[in-house]
Amino acid sequence: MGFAIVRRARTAFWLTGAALLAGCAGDDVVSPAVTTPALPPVTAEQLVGRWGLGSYHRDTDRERTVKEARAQCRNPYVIKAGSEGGVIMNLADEKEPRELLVKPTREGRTFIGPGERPAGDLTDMEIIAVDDTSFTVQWVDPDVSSRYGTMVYVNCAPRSARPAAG
Amino acid sequence: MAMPEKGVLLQRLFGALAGLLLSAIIVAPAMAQVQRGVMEIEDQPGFVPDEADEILAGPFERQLVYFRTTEAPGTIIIHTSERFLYLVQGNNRALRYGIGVGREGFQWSGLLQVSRKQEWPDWRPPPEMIQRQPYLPRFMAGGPGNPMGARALYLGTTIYRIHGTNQPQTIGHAVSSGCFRLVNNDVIDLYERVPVGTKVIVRHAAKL
Repeated sequence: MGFAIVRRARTAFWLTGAALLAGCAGDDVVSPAVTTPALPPVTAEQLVGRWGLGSYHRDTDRERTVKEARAQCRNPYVIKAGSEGGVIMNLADEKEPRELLVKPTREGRTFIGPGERPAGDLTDMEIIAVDDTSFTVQWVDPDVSSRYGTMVYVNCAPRSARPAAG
Repeated sequence: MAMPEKGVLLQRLFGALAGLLLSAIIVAPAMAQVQRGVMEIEDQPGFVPDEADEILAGPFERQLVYFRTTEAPGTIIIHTSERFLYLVQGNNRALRYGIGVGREGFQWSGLLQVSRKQEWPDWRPPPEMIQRQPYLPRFMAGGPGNPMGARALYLGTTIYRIHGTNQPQTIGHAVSSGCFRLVNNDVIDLYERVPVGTKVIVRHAAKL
């Protein structure tokens, strides 16, 4: 599996371009509101695998948590493919896993959660970062998020064994 | 007649009050025994207790006590059955801290040293806990809500630690997992007083 790097530079480029064009035209332009940069599309297939799972609350602990999560591949969190195009994962505080769908939104955000609920529902988790070796989620429910923090999943498979990026 | 009736009433009231007082005296030690019992409670990652709940009162409140020992000042002595940790001060005095004890803490007694110290230690749930709660992170960076609490003192190369807690209600009890735990204010206080290399003695009450 290969995840693209979060395309922050591309978003900034288009915002700058729009502002310049508006200036040449001589009209007043309200700059677009600053939003979370859009993530590249994430498929359920890319989530299937064995992951070292760690969590942190302070951003200063992220780098250390990623290393520790990789070490936890000795007791990995296993994500399997579901029968309805989703992935088999646990919702917060639920011992039994169930099939969850990857739910992208028009605004470029991506949620993972029950298919019968809309994207961004309180039971969902949101993918907030992806790269070649990991993905990071936060629970939408602020109570759950405050308890479990930001969860980072680090791929346990060696690079050569991962499927090529789509 | 009014006077005898009033007298009888007063006698009955007196008797009831005496009975209540006697019951309280009998119940109080029983309650203290219950408080030193076993508490079946899982770790609660992410739970942040109310500040008021972290303030201990009564015997488990941190206090200076009379304590006769031949150990040098600065030594930590843990009495697991009593649920107290003593920091020897010298002159027959010790700072006494209320502690919770894990079941593992009952499996040995002996002598160790503080091998290292950590602020806001990380937590790695034991494998059996992950089996019960498979959604748990296998590693949780330290911070408020972390079951290891605000500080940790690691004992030799063993799995045993003296650490804080996010479950202050477990002080005075033996809990299903974990080692020697203090409320966060107490473990921060102890952490400041105790250098690496401090001698730690763990004692159990003799079983008949």
